[in-house]
Amino acid sequence: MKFIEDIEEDPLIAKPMSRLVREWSRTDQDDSDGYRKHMADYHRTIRRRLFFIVMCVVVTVVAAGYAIAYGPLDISFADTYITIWNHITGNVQNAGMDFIIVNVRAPRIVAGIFGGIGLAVCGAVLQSVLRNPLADSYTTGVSSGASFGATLAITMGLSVVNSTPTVIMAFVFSLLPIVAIILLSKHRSASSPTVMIMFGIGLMYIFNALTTVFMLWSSPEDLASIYQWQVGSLAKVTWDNILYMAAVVIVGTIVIQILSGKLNVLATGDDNAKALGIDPHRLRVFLLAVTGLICAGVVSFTGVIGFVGLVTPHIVRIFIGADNRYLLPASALFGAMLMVVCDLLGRAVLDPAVLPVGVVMAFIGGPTFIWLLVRKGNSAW
Amino acid sequence: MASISEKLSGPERPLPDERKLDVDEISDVVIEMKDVSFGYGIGETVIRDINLKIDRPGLYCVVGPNGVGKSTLIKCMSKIENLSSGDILINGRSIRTMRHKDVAKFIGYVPVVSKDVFSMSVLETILIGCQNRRSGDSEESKMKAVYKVMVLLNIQDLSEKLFSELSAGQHQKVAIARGLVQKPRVLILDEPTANLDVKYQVYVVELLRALAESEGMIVIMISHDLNLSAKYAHEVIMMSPPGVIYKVGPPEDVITKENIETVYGVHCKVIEDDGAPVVILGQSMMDEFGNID
Ligand SMILES: Nc1ncnc2c1ncn2[C@@H]1O[C@H](COP(=O)(O)OP(=O)(O)O)[C@@H](O)[C@H]1O
Ligand SMILES: [Mg+2]
Repeated sequence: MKFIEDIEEDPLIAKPMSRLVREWSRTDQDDSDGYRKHMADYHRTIRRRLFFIVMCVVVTVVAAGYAIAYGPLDISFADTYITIWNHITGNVQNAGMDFIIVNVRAPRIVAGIFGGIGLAVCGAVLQSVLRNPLADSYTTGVSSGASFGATLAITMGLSVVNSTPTVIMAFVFSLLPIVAIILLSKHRSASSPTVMIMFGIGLMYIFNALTTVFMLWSSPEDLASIYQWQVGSLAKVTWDNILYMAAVVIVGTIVIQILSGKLNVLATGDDNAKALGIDPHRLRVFLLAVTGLICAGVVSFTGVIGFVGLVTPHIVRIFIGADNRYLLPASALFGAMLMVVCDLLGRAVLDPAVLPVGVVMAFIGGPTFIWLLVRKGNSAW
Repeated sequence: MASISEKLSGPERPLPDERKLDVDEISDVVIEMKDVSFGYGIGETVIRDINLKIDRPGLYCVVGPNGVGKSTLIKCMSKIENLSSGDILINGRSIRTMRHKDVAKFIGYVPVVSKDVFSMSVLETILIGCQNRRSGDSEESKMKAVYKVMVLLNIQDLSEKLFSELSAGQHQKVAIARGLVQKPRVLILDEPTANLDVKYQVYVVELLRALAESEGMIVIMISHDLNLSAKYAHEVIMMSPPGVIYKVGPPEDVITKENIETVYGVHCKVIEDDGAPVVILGQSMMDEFGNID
């Protein structure tokens, strides 16, 4: 008598149950109509997500054109693209226009695109890694660290805004909180995601307090520079800066995308991750390090830009769900779109006054976000 | 395979006649816990001196009072916690030298169902269970495996729903599906019948028993329901304070009046129904101050 034959005779098991189990155990492959319908549904979902991603790209490209065309000297939308095309193909026809578009206006827009990608991806990853909807570059202390670094550089008279010492100081100090969180997590009692984020918030307050102290001691001119740095701006980013920024953002984003399937597992909890063959601690530390670098690579050039990192992933989740394999690229492109559009609006709406991109994003994105939350309920998280 | 032949010559646990297993019915995964102790903090011991050998397919129910270390025991088995002392051998190999990945090839672990912070669809949630499939596996074959397991649990119509939108019974089904999608030879579940009504309770244990019998799997589940365990389990593992295994064996040997009164401190009567013990609870054993511990 073997178990395998027993099952039919076992009075404790309903007949349909034994049939189902037997059918399942026979093979784990399937070609039934049910499966085909199921796959069709799944592919429809994926197409919807890809459509969302493509739309973000289209809007970004169009908005980028308008953003470059917009300025004191009127350039048409078509001319903008023609000039860029000519520049790329090495066939410059109008040197003046080429200079304005490529060297004066484009850096701001390109910085917006890479900044948006970097900050949005960081937000999405941090939220999954720390399993906390409030995780972003602020609540992990990265932004405050960067602020403090920049403030230090400015008040010590090392530089005017955006020159190399400020960038380097901002970069170094923005990495400190992540390094501290990683070191702290070596202690078993402090390795939980919630403790990590509370530690990040603690660091945020410490750095903010230090920044305030230095601001109290600084001259009015320095104060203005510091203030400008703290609200963030795309205005002063140069092509040289963009080279570094883009390199960090592109490499980091690709690395994270490769790990997005594992990130899904990590987001369901450490026990689950271990049970599915992943070392959660190592993965978390690695992802924190990569996001820390991306984030530092962006904010040390642009200053602290709020909103995009925290809210973009939430908006994108409402549209395409929480699967990180799609959430990450979609957030990246949605973030880029948001930055370009809001920077354009910030220059256009109150012309000639310029609103910082972070402020515009908060004005437009904030109410939209709240409306989406209310309309959709909280079922996505 | 050496460990299996070793096992054949080893002492056999007596089984009642109607549940007697064939001698060659030895599972292809053998789990052996040797003097295992574990504590979460330094100097603390939650489970101690655990010696347990599981080498036959079947449904094993772990019972015992709250906080006695049932969850801890199964977490040690799945390498979710690292042992403080002793060793666990999986097919003769020490769990200490295995990576999470290696353990996951044998053991599927289904934790207590909890809501994830960011909810994915049912399909994506189950797909996560494919994480450790052979790397050569195509997306297509993963999707087929996911579909098959959804059919097994009759949740294929829920595939697009968000996990957070499901009922408790559906949550449990999805959690089990995620554990089963890789076809592990050992499935370990933490309180899979908690929060379920009787319909789903019976469904879940019937399914687990059927998996053990028809697939020859080792299925280990924690349960607080003594009667459910007594009726459906092939063997019951009863734990008692301070984190030790009090008795292991077929239900009629373990679910007895004396054992329950000793371990749980509750007066009871145990009758027999269809070969399985049935517990009828009586008064608690309070001291004169109302203390039950
Ligand atoms: N993550 C943890 N950290 C510290 N102590 C824990 C943890 N999990 C459980 N414990 C302690 O270990 C003991 C056993 O817990 P557990 O295995 O969950 O019991 P059971 O599942 O039998 O109810 C309890 O005293 C509990 O307080
Ligand atoms: Mg428990």
